[in-house]
Amino acid sequence: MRSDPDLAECAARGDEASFAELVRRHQARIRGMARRLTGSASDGDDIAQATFLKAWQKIGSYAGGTFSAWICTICWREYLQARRKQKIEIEFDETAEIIPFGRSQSDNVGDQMDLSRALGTLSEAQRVCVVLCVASGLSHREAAEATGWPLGTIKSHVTRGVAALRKHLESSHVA
Amino acid sequence: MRDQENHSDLTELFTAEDRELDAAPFVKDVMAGIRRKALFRRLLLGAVGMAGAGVSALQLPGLLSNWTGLDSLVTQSITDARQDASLLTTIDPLWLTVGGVVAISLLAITAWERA
Repeated sequence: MRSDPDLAECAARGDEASFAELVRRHQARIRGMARRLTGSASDGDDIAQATFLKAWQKIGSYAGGTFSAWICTICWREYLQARRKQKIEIEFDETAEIIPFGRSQSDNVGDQMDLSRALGTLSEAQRVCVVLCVASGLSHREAAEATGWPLGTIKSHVTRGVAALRKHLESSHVA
Repeated sequence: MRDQENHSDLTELFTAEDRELDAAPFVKDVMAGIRRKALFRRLLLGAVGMAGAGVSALQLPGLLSNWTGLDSLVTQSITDARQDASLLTTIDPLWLTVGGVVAISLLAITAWERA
């Protein structure tokens, strides 16, 4: 099986099949990450799609290293951009019903699951750190590089977030 | 070093959830988006290239007239054609409109015939 850097190199030369293979390999991780960050399947998939389109444009700048960390960083930036856009739209449309990012009533299938519910109980910073380091499998250092947050902050948010997640999951299983 | 020792069980839970996502339609959508963008880029570059070629062609007669050894008849006819084209600006706009309508009608008829 060809490695990610090999595929990325071919994709940088314009080989669409190689890039399609990279999308196939990493789509679950990126879609999962985007869905958990936004709290919505459809918004998450939109961000995941934008992530891969941006990755195709920037594939030439991928300089080796963990491909998943590189693509997760792009996904994180796309999420921030989408969130900023949504905030602006809400500010402009005063009559709009303000629903937290992606929490539409018709799109709450994922929320019924224990994990998603447990994630929803965390603070935003803890949720982001848990999504990046626990769900998406980035190291603390990679998450710090992606978000620009200090390494110590990431570590403490992950530790507290994981503890809160466990507590919530245990209580829901007991109940 | 990965920092996953303390939460590998949770990571496994999340990964299992992600594995259930259907890859095929998503990959298809992403690749279709990439092809759409590439097509738009090609069309845009083609249009800009054609415009550039047109501007270059307009400069050609002046360039050729300074070139000794070329058939002066050719350069003269290109220069004349350019002057004739510039005469269009002096024509009454009404006639230009009439000409445009006729041309569009002819194009429409041709397209209809082909269809």
